[in-house]
Amino acid sequence: MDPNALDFASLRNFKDFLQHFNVMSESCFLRCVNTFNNRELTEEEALCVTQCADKHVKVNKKVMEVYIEVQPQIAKKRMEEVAALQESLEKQNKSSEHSEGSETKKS
Amino acid sequence: MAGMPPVDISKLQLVQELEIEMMSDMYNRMTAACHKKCIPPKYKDAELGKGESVCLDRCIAKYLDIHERIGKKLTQLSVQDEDLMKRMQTEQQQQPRT
Repeated sequence: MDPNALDFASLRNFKDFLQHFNVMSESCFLRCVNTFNNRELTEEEALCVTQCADKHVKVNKKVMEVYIEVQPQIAKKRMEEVAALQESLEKQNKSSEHSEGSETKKS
Repeated sequence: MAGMPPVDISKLQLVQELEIEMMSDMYNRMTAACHKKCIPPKYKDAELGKGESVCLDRCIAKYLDIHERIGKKLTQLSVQDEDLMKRMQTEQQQQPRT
C-alpha cells in the first residue's frame, strides 16, 4: 500500500480523534458543571463527567455500527439508480441516431 | 499520546501542527463555554464584576480538569483497543497452524 496514503489516513484518524476529544470535553462540561464554588470538581461533577465520557464513546461506537450497516445499502441503491438512468439515456441516444440515419438516407 | 500514528520526523511537524490547531480549538470552546456559564446576557456594565471574575477563574480550572480527565480516559480506552486488536491478530495468526 502506498505509504503516503497510509500516513494520510492515520493523520486523518488522529485529527478525528482529537476533534472528538474536544467536542466531548465541551459537551460534558456544559452538561455536568453548574456550580462554581471551587476550582476543584465536586464528586458529583466528577462522576457525571466519567459517565458522560463513557456514554459518548458508546454512542460513537453505536453510530459507527449502524452507519457501516446502512450506508452500503444506500450507496448500492444510488448506484443502481444511476446505472438505470445511464441505460435509458443510451437507449434514447441510439434511437435518435437511428432516426437521423434513416432521414439522411431519404435526403 | 495513544492514537498517535507512527510517524517519521518529516511527518512529526504535521502532527505538531495538528496538536496546536486542536489546542486552539479547545481554547475557543472553553472561552465560549465559560462565557455562557458565567456572564449573564444582560450587559449592564462593560467591566467584569467580581462574581464574574471569580466564576471565570473557577470555570476555566474546571474545564481544564475535565479535559485532562477525558484525555486520560480516551488514552486508556485506545490502549485497551490496541491491545485487543494485537491479541486478535496473534490469535488469527496462530489458528491456521493448528
